[in-house]
Amino acid sequence: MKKKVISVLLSTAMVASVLAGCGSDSGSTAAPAADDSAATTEEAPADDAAAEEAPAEDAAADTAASGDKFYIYSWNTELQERLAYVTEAHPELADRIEYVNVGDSAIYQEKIDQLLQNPDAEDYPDMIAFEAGYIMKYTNSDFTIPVTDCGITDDDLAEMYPYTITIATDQRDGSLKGLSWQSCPGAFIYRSDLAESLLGVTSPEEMQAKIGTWDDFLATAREIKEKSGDATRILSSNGDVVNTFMSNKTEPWVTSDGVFHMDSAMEEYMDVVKVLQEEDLTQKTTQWSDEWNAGPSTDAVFGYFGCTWFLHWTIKANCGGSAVGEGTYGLWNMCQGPAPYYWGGTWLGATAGCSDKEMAGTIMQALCCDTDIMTKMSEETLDYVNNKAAMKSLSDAGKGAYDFLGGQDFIAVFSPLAEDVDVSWMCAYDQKVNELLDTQVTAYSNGEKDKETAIADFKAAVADAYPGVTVE
Amino acid sequence: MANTSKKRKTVEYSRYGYFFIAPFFIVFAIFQLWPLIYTIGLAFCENYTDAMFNMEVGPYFNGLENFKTVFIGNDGRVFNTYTFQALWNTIIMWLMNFLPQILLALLLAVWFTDTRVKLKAQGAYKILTFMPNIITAATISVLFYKLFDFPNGPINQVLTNWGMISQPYNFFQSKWATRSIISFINFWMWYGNTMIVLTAGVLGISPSLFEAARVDGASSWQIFKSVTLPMLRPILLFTLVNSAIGGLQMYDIPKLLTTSGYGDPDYTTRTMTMYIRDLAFTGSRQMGKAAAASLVLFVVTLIFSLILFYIMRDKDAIKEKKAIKAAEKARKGAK
Repeated sequence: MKKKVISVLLSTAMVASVLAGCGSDSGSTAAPAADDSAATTEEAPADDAAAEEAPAEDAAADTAASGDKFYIYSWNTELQERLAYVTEAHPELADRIEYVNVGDSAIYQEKIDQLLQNPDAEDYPDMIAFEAGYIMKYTNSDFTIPVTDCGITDDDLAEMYPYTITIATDQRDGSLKGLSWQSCPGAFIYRSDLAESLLGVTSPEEMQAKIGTWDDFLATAREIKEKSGDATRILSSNGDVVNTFMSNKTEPWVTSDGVFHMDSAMEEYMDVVKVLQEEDLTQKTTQWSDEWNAGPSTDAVFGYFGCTWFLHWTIKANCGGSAVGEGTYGLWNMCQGPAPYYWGGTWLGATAGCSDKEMAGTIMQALCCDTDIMTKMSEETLDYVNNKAAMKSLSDAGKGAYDFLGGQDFIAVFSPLAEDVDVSWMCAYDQKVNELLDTQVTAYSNGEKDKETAIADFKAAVADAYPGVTVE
Repeated sequence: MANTSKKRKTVEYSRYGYFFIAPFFIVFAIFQLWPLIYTIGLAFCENYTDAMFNMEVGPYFNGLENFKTVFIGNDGRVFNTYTFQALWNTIIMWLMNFLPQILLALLLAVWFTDTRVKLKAQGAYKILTFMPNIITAATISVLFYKLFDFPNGPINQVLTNWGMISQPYNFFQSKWATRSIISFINFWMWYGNTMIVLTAGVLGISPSLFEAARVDGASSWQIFKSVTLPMLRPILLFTLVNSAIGGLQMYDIPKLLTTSGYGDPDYTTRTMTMYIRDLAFTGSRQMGKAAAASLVLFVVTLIFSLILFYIMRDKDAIKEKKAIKAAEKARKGAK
């Protein structure tokens, strides 16, 4: 009899250990299996001999979650670096913040979605970062809580650019669910030396006149290709123009009644990409590829559509130098381009199960509302912060003149653009729908299908991905 | 003392065996059997999360609705759906890699085991053929992605320098080029593995059969056709079924090789498992439809395996059995 008890104990212990080991990585592979195993992990120990141990562990985890660790999730190191400004002002928070870098924005939503299903898990996020492409999926849900619950007042929001508040507002009840510390209006960033030698253009105003509409833009693109003898193209990839078109839709992909709309701006987008492809007006690289990243350091690419962060972290980082005279450093200028637009940006919000709302409020207040901290942040990192007062004081102090842009004042260019950003075209479906569109635009521009087929296939793909959306 | 143990005179060790195999069955039931049953259940339920308000719908029972969307396209044509497009992609890419793979592996296995050919440095060659199998699929995908990069990847540079093409070619925007690259990678990764399994099979055949055939004056082709192949049937069946299951679940190479990971260009390299994953974890997280698509994959795999079993069945053995039965009947009848 004794032996029997021992062997039962042994086998249950073994099973329990296997179960425990599986809990952490259950989220990665097989479809429904992942959810099931997570669910059974919680139940299984209660039934067997390991029951005495399990509750003790849970209790320990609970105290750890509420007492010490404050989990913040994001997909890269950017937010982590910005949080340094928060901990500088509130050193007592430094030890409690547990920053989790998921590492890849492509899998970020999947990871977060799974974590949010388990409010009792130790690594349940207290705060999460959102990208513009999918923020509404979370702010329009009960997974996030209004910032007012965290102690943020209307006064704190006074200096923010209005669009950053519109985006993060729950469309159901109008409560604000997330705050951003940055503002990301976009511009066309181009090589001033190439503009002079190829087009005879010497100022951003003249350049703007040459690319004020899409027809002008394409004409200028042809001129650049011709005059440079095929050595220079106006853009690196065909996809570079996408954000300007997305921002100029008249209505969102999916309106609040759940109906899908194909905007006429998107057909214009398909046509422009088709012309760029057929007339060989770009380098035909892929966005973010090595070839594409190498563009700013050579004379092969005339310009990029870029926003505030893009200017510093993409073009400047890839220009082949770090001071005037090295690489293409200092040889760039900015103008608005064919249409005003907006690209990217990161918001931070507290989750429904946030263990310490006061702390969440302190972090948001310091990171996104405090003018002094944000002025310092902008001055040191050149981030275009979401605080009008901070940007104005920097501009007034002459801090905007940027040697990378040959002395052009980047704040003066971006400020009016940030005021005008219109986000009425955004919806919770943007990221996935844009991906689906991209596939069809590529097929259409390569001549594999005509426009009607591409649009029909695009609609079919949307209907396949979202059964809840009405696609006519 | 003696009285109490009177009931059991012998010590029964056999039941301890059950305790030792119990962990496997418990783990199997929790991690394989239950998910399997749950998947079948989900396939008949409406269950997705709409992005608008991030609200989960279901799971509610909705009968065969999921299967309808899996089988019938928007235009009402049967099989004109993304599910079946993904299935065809998978089957095409599997055949493109499997047919050359089994032929080459068979050829090499026969050469390596032929006592008359006696190839030198066999060990080294076997290691070389097996090597790609050791490297992870992710590494190989990145390697090939870089090799076929546009416009300045090594392959494009070589081809333009040799004058074989005038302009760099964008391989990953052509469906047949991308499918061929994926098939080639799979072929290259797995032919060494198949070869080793087949070599073991050939070595398992009694050498006296080969000797007898040779003494009778059979040519190499005759020996291969009439001795090696029939004797290799069980191993070939194993390889075929294994490869069919593995091939229909192809995921890593096509997922990692293309830029977006959704089967560029235009979903022509999206395999069944990639599509199931896209359904279940992106967009609306359609668990119900994903489960239905999984069941389709399961049934297709089953059909493929059954067909292979049928083709590879031992016809002589079946005939023999029948003959024995007939003989027995005849004997009974004679009584």
